[in-house]
Parts: sequence; C-alpha cells; structure tokens
Amino acid sequence: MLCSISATGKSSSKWLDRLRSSKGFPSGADLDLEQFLSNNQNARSSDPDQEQDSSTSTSESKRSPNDPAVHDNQTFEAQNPDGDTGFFSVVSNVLAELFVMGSSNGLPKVRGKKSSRKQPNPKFCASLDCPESNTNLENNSTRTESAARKNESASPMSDDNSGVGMAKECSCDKQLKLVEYVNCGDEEEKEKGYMNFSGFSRTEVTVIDSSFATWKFEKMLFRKKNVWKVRDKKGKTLTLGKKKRKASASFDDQISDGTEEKKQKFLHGRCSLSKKGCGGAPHEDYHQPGKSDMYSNLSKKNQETSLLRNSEKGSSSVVLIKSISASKKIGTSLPRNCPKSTQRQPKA
Amino acid sequence: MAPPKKSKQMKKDTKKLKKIKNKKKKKSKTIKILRNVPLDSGAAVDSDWWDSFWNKNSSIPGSNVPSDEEEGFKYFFRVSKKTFEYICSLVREDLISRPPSGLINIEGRLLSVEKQVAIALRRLASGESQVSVGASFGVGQSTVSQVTWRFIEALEERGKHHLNWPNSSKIEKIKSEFEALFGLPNCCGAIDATHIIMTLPAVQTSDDWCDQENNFSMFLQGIVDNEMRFLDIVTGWPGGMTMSRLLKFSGFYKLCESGDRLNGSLRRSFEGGDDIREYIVGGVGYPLLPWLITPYEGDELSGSATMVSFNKMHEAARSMAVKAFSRLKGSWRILNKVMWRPDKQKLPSIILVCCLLHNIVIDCGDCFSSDVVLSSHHDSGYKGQKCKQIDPLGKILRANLAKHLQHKASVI
Repeated sequence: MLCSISATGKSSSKWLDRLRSSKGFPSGADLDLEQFLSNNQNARSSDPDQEQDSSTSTSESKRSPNDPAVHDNQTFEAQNPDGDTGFFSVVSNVLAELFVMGSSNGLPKVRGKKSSRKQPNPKFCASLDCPESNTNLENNSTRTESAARKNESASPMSDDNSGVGMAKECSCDKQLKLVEYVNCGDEEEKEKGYMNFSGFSRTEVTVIDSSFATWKFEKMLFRKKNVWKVRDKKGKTLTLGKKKRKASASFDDQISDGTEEKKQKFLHGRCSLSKKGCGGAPHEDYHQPGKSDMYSNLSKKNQETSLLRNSEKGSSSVVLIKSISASKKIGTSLPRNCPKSTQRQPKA
Repeated sequence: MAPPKKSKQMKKDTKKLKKIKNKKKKKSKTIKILRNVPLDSGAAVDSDWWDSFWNKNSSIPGSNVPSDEEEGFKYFFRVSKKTFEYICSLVREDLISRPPSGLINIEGRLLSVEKQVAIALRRLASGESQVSVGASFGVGQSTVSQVTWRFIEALEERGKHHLNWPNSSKIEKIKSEFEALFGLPNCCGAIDATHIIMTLPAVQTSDDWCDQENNFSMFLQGIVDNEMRFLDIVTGWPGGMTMSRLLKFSGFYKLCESGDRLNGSLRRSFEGGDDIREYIVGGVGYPLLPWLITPYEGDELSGSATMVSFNKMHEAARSMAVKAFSRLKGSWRILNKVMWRPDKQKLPSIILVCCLLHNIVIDCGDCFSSDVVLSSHHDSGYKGQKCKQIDPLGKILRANLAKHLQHKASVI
C-alpha cells in the first residue's frame, strides 16, 4: 500500500489515483485489489471490543451507519495498531490537506480545515456565539459589553457572506437584538452617572425655551409614572461650558442699557436661582460649586479653540461663536451652518 | 451602393449632433446668464411662481379659495404679500440658491427664495402631505421636505427678535391694555399650554411621549400679551407631564422664582388698598403662585359675588392665551394635524417657527381672517387638569385683585 501511494506521483492519471487514495483504495499501476479487499475484510471481522475502544469512531458510527465513508473510517481506525496503516493514514492526511480531497470524512482535522477553506464565513460561529452572549448579558453586566463587541465584530462578516436569504434574516435579527443589548449596556453605564434612577425610563428631549439665553438645548428626562426628573445629557461637558459662556454674554446684552448694580443683582439672582432649582431643573447643574473650576477650564478651552479657528478662518468672533453653537446643536444642523459661515464670509 | 448611403447617414448624424450641440450651447448660455444675474437682486417678488400656482390652485372644485387674488394669497400662505416679502427678506441670506448647491426645479432653474418660502409656508399652513404640497407647486416631495426644513432653520435663527419678553416700556403698555380690557391692574400676560399630537413607532422609547389621553404628544406652553402675541414659549417636553410640571421645568418659572422676571413696579390697587405686583393669569391647571394667578375653584368660591366677578374677568383675560393657541393651530395647521412620526429633535423647531410666524403676522399688522381660527378648543379631546397647589402670597394677591375689581365696580 505504501508503494501504491508513493507511486501516485508517477502515474499518468493522477486524478484517478487521488480519488482512489482519498477513498482509501490502493492506487498506482500495480493494483492489488484482492489484497486490499482481504485486508478490509480482516479489519471488519476484527474484535468488536477493539472497535468500541477507539474513541473517535463511536460517534461517527452512531451518526450514519450506512455511510460508506464511515465504514472506511472504521477500517482505518481499526488498523491503528498496525504501524503501516498508521503511516498510511498520516500520508493520506497530508495528501488530503494538499489536494483538498472530496471525501475526507475519515480525517477530522482535514475536514475542519476544508470547511473553513471553502466557506470562511463565520456565520455558524456567530450563531453559536449569540446564545452565549445573551446569557452573558443576562448574568453579568460587566461582561455584556465585551460579548456584545465580540458579536458586533462578528456580525458584519456574517452579513457579508451569507448568501441564503434565511440565514441573512437570522443574522439581521441577531444583529438587532445585539444592538439593543449594546444600548442597554451603555445605558447601564449612564445610570451610574445619573445617580440611581432605577425603574425610571429615560428619554432624550430637545427643548426650546425662549426664557434661556440659549433657546435650544438637550436634556435627559427620567420618568417613573408621574415622577419626572431632568438631568443634563451626559457627554456634553463642552456644551455646558459653552452654554455658560454664551449665557453670560447674553446677560451683558440685556444689561447693556442698565446699571452695574442691576447687573450684579441679575447675576446674584441667577446664582440663587441655581440654588433654588426645582427637582432637576434644567440649569441647576450649571452652577454647582464643585464644577465651577471645570467649567472655567472648559470655557478657557473653548476660547482657545475659538481663537484658533479665528486665526484659521480670519473671520469675526461672532461668527465663531455661532459656528460653535451649531456644532453643539443637533447633528443635522452642523452641515447647514458650516456652509452658512462660509457664505457669510465674503460679505463680512 | 452601401458606402455612399452610409456617408449620407453620417452627414445626417453630424447635422443632428450639431443641432444638439447648439441646443446645449444655448442652454448653457441661459444657465450662464442665470448665474450671472445677481441672485439677491432687489426685493421684488418673483411673480412667475405665484401666477402658475394661482392658476393651478385657485379653481380647484370644492375649495373655498377666495376669488380675489390678494385674499387668495392670504388663504394659501396666511400672510399678506407685504408680510411675505418681509419673511423672504429675513431668510434670503440662508435660502438664496447659489450654484452648485442651490435647489433646482424640474426645468433646471434655480428655485427662487420666494418660491422656497411659499413652499415652506404652504406646508406649515396647510399641514398637507409633502407630496400634495409639492404637486401644487410642481416640485417633488423631497424638494418640499428640504425647502421646508431649510426655511425652518433659517427663520429659527433670524426671526428670534419677534419672540421675546418685552422691555419695560412695552410691558407698561401691555399692562395698561390688560387693565383697560379686563380691569386687572399690573397683569403682564396670560399663560396656557397645548398638545402637539404625533404618531410614533410602537417601541418602548415612545412610551414617555404618551399622554393621559393615550396620544403621543409634545407640549407647547406660551405666554401671550393682549394682542395674542407670544412673549415666551417652551416646547419639547412630553405631553404626558402635568401643566404644573411643565411650568416648573420652564425657564420662565425659574426667572420668576428668582425675581428676575415680573419684577416691575408695584401698583397700588386703590387709595388705602394693597400693593399689587406684576403677574400673569393662568387656568386651573396651573398652581396659584405669587406671580401666577389662577381663578377661584370649588370651596374657595363659596358663592361670593366678588370672587365670581373676579373669575369672570380672570377668564376673559386668560382667554387671550386660549384664543392665541386656537389661532396658532388654525393658521399653521401642521400643528393641529397628527404628525406622522416626526423627528422629536426637529419638532420643537417646527413649533417655534410657527409661533414666530404667528408673531410676525401680528407685528406686520396683517388683518386676521376669522375663518382660519379653529372651530373647537385648541386642545380638544384633553380633559382640563386641576392643580391644587396654592401659595399663600398668591392667595393674598388674588384676594387683593378681587377687592380691586369690587372697588372699581362700586366706584362706577
């Protein structure tokens, strides 16, 4: 058999040899089929206990007893004690790896490789990951993000390669679910920041209030039946700093025709306002003593950035302030205001 | 035989090509000419769009379009031609079409500022779908959407001066008007709120927008003067909260509580009477506060003639706010119709712009057609809320006002 396999390289019909060798038949010019069959029969008539001992064969035989390939597998496994057959299996492994032969059932390693080679789509893996990640999400919030990220990274691949409609739908559904979970994770993180609003639903609201210097602002609204709480939207520190700066500017505008005393009174009133603030009032967080330093720093930073932009564009500071407010607004207004500022430049 | 035929065909083809090229050249020339024309030339209204619009829409069977062109203009856009020109001048800088970014209609011509404003006003005034508004102007749905939003953004920035808390001289005028009309001294305005109803997708995040009437809605609170002009508005908060809560979230509340608003001069009600501070009037849905006066309710009334007459005058003054909202929702029907899944970040801007337009119409002195006002209450379908919060100082002020009215009646 060893010779027959080694002879395959020299034979004129290589494909036939490959086919034979893949099926476990001897190949080459000097075929001895009778010997092969007799070997096969010997193997089949061998001790059944020996067959049972082989750990890998059991599952395979149970799965498809009528499959000839499985029988081949059994024969190879049964021949394990024989050194020649061991060598044969090694060589056939190598051959299978090299030529990606059709029936590699008897070679678990090769089969694994083949499948990954033919369809590198990790769809199957993703579907396996999903329940795992779901359980993770249910059990451990800290593991949520990592699992979700894992799935997130996996899901686009499944989308790319899934050609079957059903599979695509499944992956989409899973993706949607995952996105939800990711959001939950984010919100859980936010919750820590927003003290403890357990049981509260939260909504992002865009409010327009003509009583404030900046008419339009975004807030995070927490609701639990008839209990409503308002907090500043997280991750908007720059916004806050800017708001304060703009607010003070507008105060100046209002007071410009008044006296200095009035101004002081106004500012004092503003401070007292912040102290009084009714349960999560929109502006109460702006004047917290602990945060004052941070805001001043931020406003300085804003000024610096505005100065930088000023030097770059060579436009007036008024326009710059407007451009900052635009970026702070909602995302949609950003592209609108950018050309606007450029449009106004020639005029100015 | 074949080659000469081909040559003839070739000649024909070349002629055709030349013709096409010439046509193209002509077109390009016209475009060039258009581009060379100063785009912001004068304030003259581009009458082309109006003529075609009027011809197309004035004779729609079953519609109540006035036969007079001027009235017809007002019917469609809620503003007079003069006010329309003013609005165009406000937003011209932002809406002017500059190639290549300018909006182009089907014929390849740039949309004039006037036509853009007309499209946006028609969308806000009628509340009709973008498709039908587009059809009436000969533009597509996407153009209507784009133009309307550009207009809203522009007016939101440039029309702010039409909505602000009045300065001291203006507030004195308002106070004197309120006193002349309703006998209430030092009254600076009336407050009310309305729901802007919308549909939202059936997802959990929509629940917070569900109000007591099981509608998805957004609140609009406004304080109006004696001419039904909005002096202060708050919008964007979900319609499910109480009016009292809405007030407390507002900047106006904070300014009043801190003494930065309604802090004008006191008024002696009558000789020997008590001082009366500045205040506004509101319905029973609002709390009774030192600066917000609500009517007597339930047990408080106790059949006293003074209180009944006070309530009568109070209701008359407060009705200015109710009428203002009816007029707002009647004029700008987009607010009165159920909005189909609006962007909740954009909806406050739409509401604000409608309020700005409402004020612009008043400021420009347009005659208001009564047909536009809603036949029913602006917040029909919503049960009135009652707030039981009573501030002692508010109670004293209300009693003083009732006394003032009684004294005035006795003098007369």
